[in-house]
Parts: sequence; C-alpha cells; structure tokens
Amino acid sequence: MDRGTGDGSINDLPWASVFDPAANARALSAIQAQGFRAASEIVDRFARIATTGLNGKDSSTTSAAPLTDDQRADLFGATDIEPLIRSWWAMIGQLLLGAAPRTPDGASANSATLDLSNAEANGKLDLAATSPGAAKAEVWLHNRGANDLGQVRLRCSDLLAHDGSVVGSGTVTFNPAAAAIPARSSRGIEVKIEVPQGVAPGTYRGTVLAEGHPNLWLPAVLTVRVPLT
Amino acid sequence: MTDIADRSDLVAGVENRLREVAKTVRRSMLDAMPDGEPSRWLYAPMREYPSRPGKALRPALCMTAGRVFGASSEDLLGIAVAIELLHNAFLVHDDVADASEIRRGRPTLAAQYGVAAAVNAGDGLAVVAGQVLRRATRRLGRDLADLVWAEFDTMALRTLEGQATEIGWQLDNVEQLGPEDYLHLIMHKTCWYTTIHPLRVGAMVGSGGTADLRPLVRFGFHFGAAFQIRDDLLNLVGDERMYGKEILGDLYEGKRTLPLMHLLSIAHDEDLALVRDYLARTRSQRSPEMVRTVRELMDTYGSIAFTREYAEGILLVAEEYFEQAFTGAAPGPDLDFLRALVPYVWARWR
Repeated sequence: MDRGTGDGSINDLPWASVFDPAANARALSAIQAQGFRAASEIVDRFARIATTGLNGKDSSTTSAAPLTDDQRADLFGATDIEPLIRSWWAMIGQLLLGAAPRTPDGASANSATLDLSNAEANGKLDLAATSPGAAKAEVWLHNRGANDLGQVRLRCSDLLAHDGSVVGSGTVTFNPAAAAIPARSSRGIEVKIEVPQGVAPGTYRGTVLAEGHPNLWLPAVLTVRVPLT
Repeated sequence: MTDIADRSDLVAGVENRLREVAKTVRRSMLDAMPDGEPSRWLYAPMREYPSRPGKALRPALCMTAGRVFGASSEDLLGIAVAIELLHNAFLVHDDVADASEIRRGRPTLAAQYGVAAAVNAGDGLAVVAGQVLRRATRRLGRDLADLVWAEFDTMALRTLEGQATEIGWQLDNVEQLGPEDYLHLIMHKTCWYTTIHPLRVGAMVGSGGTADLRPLVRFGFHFGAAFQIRDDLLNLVGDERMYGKEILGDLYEGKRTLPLMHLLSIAHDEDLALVRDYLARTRSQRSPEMVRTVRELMDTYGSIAFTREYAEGILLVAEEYFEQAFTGAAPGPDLDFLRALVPYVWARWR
C-alpha cells in the first residue's frame, strides 16, 4: 500500500481517532475545518432540496440539522471551530427562514390596494425571490365611483437596499401593463420582479405609483434570499 | 485500538465485497447487452467498458443500502445494474469529451474505435440502462417505481449539470475558483451519481419509499467527496498500474481538481502566469515538461498537502452521518460493509 507520500507537514491524525468524533474535532486544523464547513454548507442545501423537491414533504425547522444543538455542543465543545459552526448555523437559519412558507395571517390586511376613487392606498407589496429568480405579487385597484377611470398604469421605482445595492425598475413588469377601470369595478394587477443573477441577498425597498393619480403610492418590499442551488 | 493488521483486514474485506458485486454486476450487464449487427461498430464497443474490471462501488452501495433497509437482492440487482450501465455510458462520453486515452488500464473507446463509434456506444449503453431499469422496476409497485425513476432523472440531470459546469470553466478559462467551487462541482458531477443516488435508491426500494433519505445525502456527499478527492490525489501521486488511468492525466486535461484550484488561488507572479498560460493551452499544446513543472509547483505551494487536509475535514464527520443515515437499518454483514467504507477511504489516504 502506498503510504510513503506523507510529508509530515500535515496534522498527522492517528487513524484510530476516526472513530472518536470528539478527538477529531479537537484535532481539526484550520484547513480541515475549512473543508468540513464548505462540505456542510453544500450538503445542507442539497439535503433540503432533496426533501422538498423529490418527496414533496414539508421540511420542519430542524430537518436540515444533523444534530441537535446539545449534541453539537457536545461534539464540538471547547474547540476553536465554534465560530465556524455558528456561522454555519446562521446560514442554515437564513435558508430555513427564506424557505419557510409565507405566513398567511394578516394577508388581507397586507394585501396591496389602491382605491383610485377615494385616493386611498392600503397595505404594501411583499415580494420574495432568490437571485436569480422571480417574485410575484398582486395589487388591487378599486374604483368605487360612478366615473370610468379609463386605462390605469402602474409604475415602480428602483428598489434600494440599505447598503446601496439596487434592483432596477427595469426588472419590474405589470400584467396587464394597463388595466381598464370602468365605474364601480375592481381589478387585480400582477407585479413581477425578475431578480437577475448576482443580486446580493437582502431587503430592497421601493415605491409603486399609479399614473395619473399623484397622491397614490404603495411601498414595495423585495426580499432576496440565498439561492438554494 | 486499531492496528495495521486490522486495517488491512478491513481493506481486504471491503475489496472482496466490491469484487463479488463487480462480478455479478458485470455478468448481468453483459447479459443485458443486445446481440446482433452491427456488432463490430456498436455492440462490441458497447461491451468494452462493462467487461473491464471496475470498482463497482455504485452497485455495491445500492445493493447493500437496499438490503439493510429490507429489500431482497432480486429486487435490487436490476437497479444496481442500471446504475452501473449508466455510469459506463457516462464514462464513454466523458472520455470522448476529455480526449482521454486510457480507461481501466486499456485504450478508451474513442482511441480504439474512433470518436463516432464511441459516441454511439455511449448512447447505446444509456438506452440499455433504461431497458434494464424498466424491467427492474416492474417488480415494484407503481408508486415506488415512479419514485425510483424520478431519482434516476434527478441523478442524471445533476451529473450533466456538473459536467456542463466543468466544461464551462475550461472553455471560459475561468480562474477565480476556490475549493468551495470545486466541492460544488463534485457534488453535482460525482457525488450524486456515485454515492448519494445509489444509497438513496437502495434505501427507497428497501423501505418501500418510507425511509428518510435526507441523511443519506449528507453521508453520501461527505463520503463521495472524500472518495473523489482521493482519486484526484492518486492521479497526481499514484502509480499508473494500480490506478488504471494515465497518471497526471487530469493535469494534461487541465481538469479543475482541488489541488489545481488551490494552486491557482495561491501561486503568485511568474508561477501563476505559468499555470494560467498552461491552462489556456489545448491538450496537444501541453508538453510533458510543462505538466511536470505544474506538478512540481503543486509541491512548492503545498497544494497536495492542502488537498489532503481539506478532504480530511470532510471525511471526519462522515462516520457521524453514517450512524444517522442508517439508524433504522438491520445490523449484519451488509451494514458492516457500509460502515467500513469511510475507514476504507482513510486507509489509502496518505
């Protein structure tokens, strides 16, 4: 067997320690920790995809976690890789948060509406997507009055994150682009944002306005999540 | 305490089991191959790779994982054979794409029969793999059969995604790649179909679709990544007869392996320029001297040592994940075989 290439410069783990995870964790060098962490990050993403993608089962908050916090603390206790584990957990948390189903509570309160006849705006546009990916939401236009308001178009500003990152207004489309709003009618318009590749995860905020109705506007919030693939 | 004698027992045990599976699977693969014409330019080349001795890791994983979760060997063999046939189909096309010259110790199909015949043979192997899988899944209930086919589809797509990513890196001459990119690549290109898929399909059939397959992704990836990195290292430090492929073949091809990615990320000035210039060349423009120079740079910059250590970090937790993945599995020689795989990879590490 070829055992002659060990150069001695590496942390020479005794082979038996393979069976002792605690000893392994203590012996973990910086490079080993790097490999461990990178592998864990990738595999966590895939374990989640494999679950939701193939089995169609819901993933609970702990499904991606190989060990409980206690077990992990036990396994990696008193080692210098704790910060790595923490960042790893933070990342899992972010993924799980991002992938959690959007809460339906308060959906009606939050649904975005523009009351054109009363010049009243309610709610906000809440969109979430990965980069790259698409997010969709709906705005409802109401005309409670007796006048035909003709064609109404919506506009959206650039969406800006706290660190200056921008998702440009060009990525936002409305379907239909213009909606006819006759007297005593309501109409839903779909808002779609195509988040391009390379957009940093974060929260982006902007404003949706209705052409010809200068006093009407709605806040739009786009949450860009870490992509799962 | 584990000593050298135990270790060689363990290695011999794993290799015996792999040899047994390889023999059965090889026979079944050849039985599944159509006879008839054109023999010389289709069916004969199609038989080439399946008749050469391979490691049979994939079918062994599928069959043992299936049995520890309760399936019979009869239910599993066809699926394991389909996996190995698809693997052979991938190898044929892979060798064409990489312009490799040796596979399993003999000339590649393209070298022996020409590229066109090799491409056809690869297609043929994929078709036969589908036939074998269809026969095998008839034994299963319809829902389970659907699940198994979906697993195969996922696996094939993952593999192609990985191949395409790698080709893209080479064609675009992508340089800003780190070890994490490499792991991402082999997750798609290698681990999914080498370890994760066989384990998952086995467990799926064994448990009638009820086993939790998620921990198998975890174990399969950690084990598979370490296995692949070990393979990449053997290509750099190994011995051609034992390895069965061209030594330094990956370097000739400019394949983005972990040591190469490390070298690219750490080399400076004229050394970095040299490596970049090397990678920008076509295979025929790369002389043996250049290959040797790049290989020496890997020593100078500690890329080999880095790779070993990085992979150790991945493998260290594989044992842990193994226990999670096989919590409900039946103890016995099959489970022992699976449990021995991680130490087996370790045993040939340095």
